[in-house]
Order: sequence, then structure tokens, then C-alpha cells
Amino acid sequence: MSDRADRGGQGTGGGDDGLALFFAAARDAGPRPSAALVARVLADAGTERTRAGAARGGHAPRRAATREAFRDLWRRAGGWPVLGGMVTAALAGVWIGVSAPGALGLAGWAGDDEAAGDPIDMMPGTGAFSLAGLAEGG
Amino acid sequence: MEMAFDASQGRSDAEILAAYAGGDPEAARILAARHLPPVLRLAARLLGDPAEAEDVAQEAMLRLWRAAPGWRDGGAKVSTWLYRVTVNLCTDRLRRRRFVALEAVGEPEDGRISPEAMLQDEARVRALDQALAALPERQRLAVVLRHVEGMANPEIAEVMEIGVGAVESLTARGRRALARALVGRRDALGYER
Repeated sequence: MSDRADRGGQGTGGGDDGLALFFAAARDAGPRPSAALVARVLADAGTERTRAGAARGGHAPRRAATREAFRDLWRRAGGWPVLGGMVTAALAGVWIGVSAPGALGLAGWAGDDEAAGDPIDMMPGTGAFSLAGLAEGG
Repeated sequence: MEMAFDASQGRSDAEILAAYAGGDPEAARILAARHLPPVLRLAARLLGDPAEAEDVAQEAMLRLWRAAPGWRDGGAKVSTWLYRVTVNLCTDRLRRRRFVALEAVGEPEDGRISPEAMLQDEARVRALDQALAALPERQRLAVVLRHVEGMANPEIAEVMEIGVGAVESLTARGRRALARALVGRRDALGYER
């Protein structure tokens, strides 16, 4: 059987069952859209067009631009690995802030002038942070 | 009310639908002129109820308006998509009610249609509708899409979401059943070879 549309069986031998004229009559018949139906359909079209237009010109583009800006910032900042370090640092900061100095083993921070006056040598033996060394190096 | 003249005959349905989505108010008129009549005709033939057919036709077009912004050209044809939506809407309604086709269409008073009382084409249509109503739902749908709406089998397969072979089987069985039902009425209906 041909895949081509065979409207009434005409031309393909299917018309010998006598149905061709019935199908032809049916194609020409059938209800026509009433004026009321057409009006309802076009009213729906107008409503949906307005709704879609509001979504297009309102919040949707602005939200999309904001999301994209955040994604770009996230990528530049380093993504999830950086977040892990930041969270750790933040939690440590909170803990330091709420803990008594004694709990941290930092007696000098509580106002021990002698201890507070001693510089902390971050790289012992190297003098890397010595002011004298910097002045000579110029 | 006459449907608006389609002044965009050179444009595809997808192009006009894109224009509608872009805010063109005339595009909706063009699409309605093209597609509302066949959608309504199909729904009427499947449901046998003019009021329900109008509801289905309006709903099908509403779904098209809502699909317009996301419509991708190159996918399903608008007509095929609309037919599928219409068929699904009709199927839902038929499942919710018992399909009393003969009552909806109307039995002839004495079982014989008089050609003197009706125009020949009207009589043939009534006879065909009565015979269609007696078919199983999917046979009726396949026969209507094939022989009344003039769709090709692959397109019918897409609408009904079945294989092409299944379409051929349904249309063949449906057509044989119609022939048996209508053969005795051909003379009375003025059928001539």
C-alpha cells in the first residue's frame, strides 16, 4: 500500500469498495468554525502572547544576566576548592572570636606587654624579614 | 464569519508561529485560518458532539499558542502536532463518557435515507458518520485521518504514536467494515460508479 495520501482510494484500486464518494462528501462537509469560536481562539492567542511578552521583557532576561554574572565570578574565584578553604577559614575565625585567649594558648594577646613586644620570626635564621637587611638591599 | 484571507501563503507554519511568538498579532489569525477548520472537523467526527468538538478545537489551539515560544523548527509539523493534540484531547473525553455515536449522529427514522428528503452529499455524510461511529475508536481515527483528512500513513503513525504497519492494518480493517455497512445503501444514496 502506498504511503502517499490516498484520499478516497481513487487511483490505487481502493475505490472498488464504493467508499470514495462517501469520503469525498465527508471532506467537503463537516462543521465550520463559528464566529464565536474564532473569537475565543483569537482571544486566547492574544492572552498568551501578552503573557509570553511579559515574561520575555520583564524578569526573565534580568535574572538570566544575574545568574551568568554569578557563574563567571564563581569560575574566576576558583570554584568549589576555594569555597572549602573559605568555609574552613571562616569557621576558624568564628572559633577564635568566641574563644577566651587562654583557650588558644596566646597569653600575650591578653595584654602581656612583654610578650606582645617580641617580634615573631616567621623564617628563623634567614633574616628574611629583618629591616636592616631590607635597608642594605635597597 | 469568514476566516481571514491567508496573505502569507508562502510562509511555513513554523515561520508564522515564530512571528506569533515574536508578538505579531496577525500571525494568530493566519494560523487559526489554516488549522482551526481541520481541527474542528476532526474533533467533530471523533466526538460526534458539536459543542464538545468546539471545546476541543479551542483547547488544541490554546496549546499551540503556549507552545509557540519554545517551538523548534525542523521538528514535528504544526499540523501533525495539532492533530496529535486533538486526538489526545478527544480520546480523553471519550474515555470519560460512553460514546453514544448513533444517538449523537441521529438514526434515520425508518432505517433508510431518502434521497428526496436530503441532498445526496448530506445523506452520504450522515451515512458515513453513522458507520464510522460503529467502528472501534482507533479504526475510526485511522480511517478518518487517512481517507477524510487525506494524511499519509507515516504522518498518521506520528499522530497516533503507533507504527506505520499498525496504521495500514487499522485503515484496512476499518475500510472493510465501512464497506460492509454502507454497501447496501449505495443505491439509495445515489452512488454511481
